[in-house]
Amino acid sequence: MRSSGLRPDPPLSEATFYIMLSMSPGPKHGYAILKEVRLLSDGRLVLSTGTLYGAIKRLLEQGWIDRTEDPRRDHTVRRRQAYALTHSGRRVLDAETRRLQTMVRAAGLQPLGEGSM
Amino acid sequence: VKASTTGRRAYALLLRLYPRHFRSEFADEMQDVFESALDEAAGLGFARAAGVWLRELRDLPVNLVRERRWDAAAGVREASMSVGPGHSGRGEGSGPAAEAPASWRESLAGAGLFLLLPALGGVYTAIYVLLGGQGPRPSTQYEDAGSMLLALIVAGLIAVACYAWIHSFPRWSFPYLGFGLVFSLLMSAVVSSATILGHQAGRVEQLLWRAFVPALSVAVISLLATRSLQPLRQLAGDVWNDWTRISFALYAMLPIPLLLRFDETHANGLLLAGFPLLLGLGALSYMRSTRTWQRAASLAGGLAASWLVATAWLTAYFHGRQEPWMSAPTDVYRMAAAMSGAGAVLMAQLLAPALLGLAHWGMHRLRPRHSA
Repeated sequence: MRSSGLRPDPPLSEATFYIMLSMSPGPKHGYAILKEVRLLSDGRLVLSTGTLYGAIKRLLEQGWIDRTEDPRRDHTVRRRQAYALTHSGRRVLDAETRRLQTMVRAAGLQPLGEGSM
Repeated sequence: VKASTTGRRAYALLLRLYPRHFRSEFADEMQDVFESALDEAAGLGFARAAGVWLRELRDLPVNLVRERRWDAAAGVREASMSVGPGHSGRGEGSGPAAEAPASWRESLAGAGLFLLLPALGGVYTAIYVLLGGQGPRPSTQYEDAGSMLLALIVAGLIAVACYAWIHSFPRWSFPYLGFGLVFSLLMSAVVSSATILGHQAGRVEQLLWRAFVPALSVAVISLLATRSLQPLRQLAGDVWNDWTRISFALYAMLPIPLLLRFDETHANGLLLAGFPLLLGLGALSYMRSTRTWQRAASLAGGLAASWLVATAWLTAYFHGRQEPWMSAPTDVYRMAAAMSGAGAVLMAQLLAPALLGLAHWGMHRLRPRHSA
């Protein structure tokens, strides 16, 4: 049961955004996603496995990511499941990134000093 | 440093709390990722490894509730699409239609309270011996063992009630909830000297509201864990759709009036252990039943069977007997009549929630029907 919605409604949660962003360069397995999210958020967002796989489940059901084999798997360890952005997932990520950029641009145009009202 | 076997097993146990669908899809990967994270953190020190565990435990309640809700919503979606006969989805008790019976594991959980009661005597003796108690009772250890057994029962009931609340009050949990509330009610009237392990902890005339502190702590813990009133709404809906759930909760108090009848007798332990087991059979039959009348019959059957055996035994025991506290030899006919009367009152109480079912049925009949 997949929805083919391309626009996140409401906007993506921070965890979902970072998870999708971590897959942007290419497919990743669960542990690599966990580490990449930590890196991308400057150590601010450290996911538990439960939160990670809850998000992965919903992304799979929405059709924004897909299962694939880990491209960098080592034959000495057991096969790991990797996840990759689908075409629609990439478009959702792009749309969300543009939305965030617009917001940051708007914030840059507004004086934010004290007593600016 | 590899994740310790204990840690691995503990995480595998935590994973079992997730819904079955979620587990079958992700449990292996989650275990793998957790072990990798724990291995790496353990290499950086104990604090890092503890951090991995704390993160998992911190997020666990929210994740569990979210996945169970998602699972339930998916179940509703699938049920609404399914038109096959006999398919009932998760909505157990919704109307007179037959449902799939509970699994054996759930059934045993439902009967567990009754099956465990006979073991309490053994637990008590074990605690008594561990405390160094021997010889004739009563002794200090005799009281301490009682306090510790009581603490164990209360802690167990709190744990089960929290689990039940977080999981939206499954059918098997009703005896525990009923027993817990009746137990609190009885304890509120108890005069306690508040002696804990031989130390006087202040004189308490009556426990009163203090007896409900465990129930209150269950509510606080569960609300903090779920951060939602959905389990309570589910409870109200389930009870409205199936009145036998209340009867099942009331059924849990039956061992108390039943066993009290054997006070001042020389009934042996085997006989006394048999009554909870007989009631347990009724509970097991209730859990395996698929229709409302079958469930009601299971509970009524359990009560009738155990009460009949008790009446027969007590009548035979007291036949012609005159105890020091009796003014005349026992009239067995009056005794049998009194037992039957008490049994009838209990049966009426057990089946009184049927009035709720009647109200449900009436509302259903009066509700205007919309054409599709």
